[in-house]
Amino acid sequence: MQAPGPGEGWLRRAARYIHVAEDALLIGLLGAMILIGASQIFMRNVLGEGLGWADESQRLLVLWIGMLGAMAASRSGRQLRIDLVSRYLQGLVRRLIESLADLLTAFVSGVIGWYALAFIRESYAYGDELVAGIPAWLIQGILPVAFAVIALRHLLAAIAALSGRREIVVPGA
Amino acid sequence: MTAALVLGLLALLGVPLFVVIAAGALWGYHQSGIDLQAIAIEIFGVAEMPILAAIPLFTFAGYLISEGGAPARLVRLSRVLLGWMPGGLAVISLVSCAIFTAFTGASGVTIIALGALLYPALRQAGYPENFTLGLVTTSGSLGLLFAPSLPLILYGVVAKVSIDDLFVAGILPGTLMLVLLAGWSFWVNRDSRQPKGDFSWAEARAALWASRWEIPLPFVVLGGIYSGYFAVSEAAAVTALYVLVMEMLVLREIPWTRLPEVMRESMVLVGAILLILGVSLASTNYMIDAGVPQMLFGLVSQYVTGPTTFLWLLLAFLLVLGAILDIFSAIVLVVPLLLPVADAYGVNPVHLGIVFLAAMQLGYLTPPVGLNLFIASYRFDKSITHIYLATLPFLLILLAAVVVITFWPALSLVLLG
Repeated sequence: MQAPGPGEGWLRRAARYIHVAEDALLIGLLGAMILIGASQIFMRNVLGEGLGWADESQRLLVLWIGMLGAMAASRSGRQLRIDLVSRYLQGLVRRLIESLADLLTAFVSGVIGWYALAFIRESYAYGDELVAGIPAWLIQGILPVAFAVIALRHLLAAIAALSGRREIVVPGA
Repeated sequence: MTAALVLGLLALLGVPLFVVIAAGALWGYHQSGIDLQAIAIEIFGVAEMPILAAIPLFTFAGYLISEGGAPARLVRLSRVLLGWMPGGLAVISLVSCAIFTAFTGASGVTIIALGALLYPALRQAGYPENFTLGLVTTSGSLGLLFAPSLPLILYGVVAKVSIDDLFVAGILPGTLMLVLLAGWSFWVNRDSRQPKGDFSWAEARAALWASRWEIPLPFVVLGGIYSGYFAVSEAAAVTALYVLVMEMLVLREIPWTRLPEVMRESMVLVGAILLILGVSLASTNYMIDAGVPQMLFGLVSQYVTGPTTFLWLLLAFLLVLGAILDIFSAIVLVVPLLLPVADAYGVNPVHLGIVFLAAMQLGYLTPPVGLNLFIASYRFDKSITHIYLATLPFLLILLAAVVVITFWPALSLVLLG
């Protein structure tokens, strides 16, 4: 890691804190999923009665873990793709194609994030509840957040590639 | 049609697949006047499939188990049990890689974790360089058809087929691949004199003792699933907890500071897969509503008269698909469209799954994007072309196996009764 330049110190630090928080949440949720899954089997087979909320919470954990994992994949440019360009092209052409791909990714993710926001606003208005009385919009809220973060990460990757810089640091991306 | 071509081109240019799929779904919604909010509702569908919990749990267990000493112990154990046979070391490589891949989800980790142990051992025992490279590269995706491999689970989720049935159906076709490759290894090395290992009871006891914590794992997982004691996602939770306790508390091979990194790394792959799955739920539902499977069937039925011709066409299609698309994206994207067409030709969905995965397995070994070729090239510091040529004989044998698996449905279905 290079030393922060003047004026970039707090940006870098903020970005690092956000990454750490994101990772901690991802790791914590995976740990919860393992524990809930294993205790559910124990309860059902030994005590004869499973936890009522366990199955639903596992399903919602899958969504959150998936979305946080997808955000992490965008952070390091590891979304699944057909990887011909980076293997067979070099130089300016490669950089142009890669940044266009990033721009398109940012645009489409932004669109999904926008409509996901509309979706949870409706859900909020209806006052739906999911597991254990938690409001549905809170759990569904991971969708607009994740797609916004993914959009931002690819936008920055595109700008970085076009301007020839290795990275652009912005908190949260 | 134009939209499909543009999307295909974007995919080839390296636009992430989830973007290509989502763009297709959004375009389709827009054309039919559906509110674009529908895409968020469809993606939320990821939270409505109980079986999906198996994917993060098995992936994490696989990543964690490849971090510690398990790969070395697996090789040691198979060496004791199989090393006395002629060509034993080649068979050891095939068997241990198949087991390892089944448990670690065919993400290329097998070549990295086991290849590094097997390659020098095979060379030292006098196997030719190209044979060794080809063997190790091929072995990296060999266990795909064995439970509890991730692609089998994902196929079950997407095709809405019983995962337990798929686990049983994969046994014989997977074994066929192993047997054919082992036969080839014997044949190539029939004249060379590798030192045959002597069977030693003392070493067998020591190797078994060293692996005492790993040995129960397949029995717990597979026994639990096959006996109906656990559901697949429960078996995944047990596996994850078992591996976690074994590696971190009992064997203590992995430092605690490393654990968060392994958890995060494994979830990057899971996130990438689930994101594609989420947007595919949207595009698939749209395509089914728009009658795309019927159009495909109409198109295919102009050229294809019976099931046999259909299977040949299917095979050719899957080989091309496997050469450009990774197995997870291919399952999520193509299976929903393929199922109704295959069904119209009387292909059993469980058999279709085995054919699909067996054919996609070849995609790991074919240019231009074969994952194993690139990992092996990087790992063993040889050119892609070199690795590809070394792998070619193995590829042809696997191709023969895939043809057998395709045209002999009983091989997949007989154990299902």
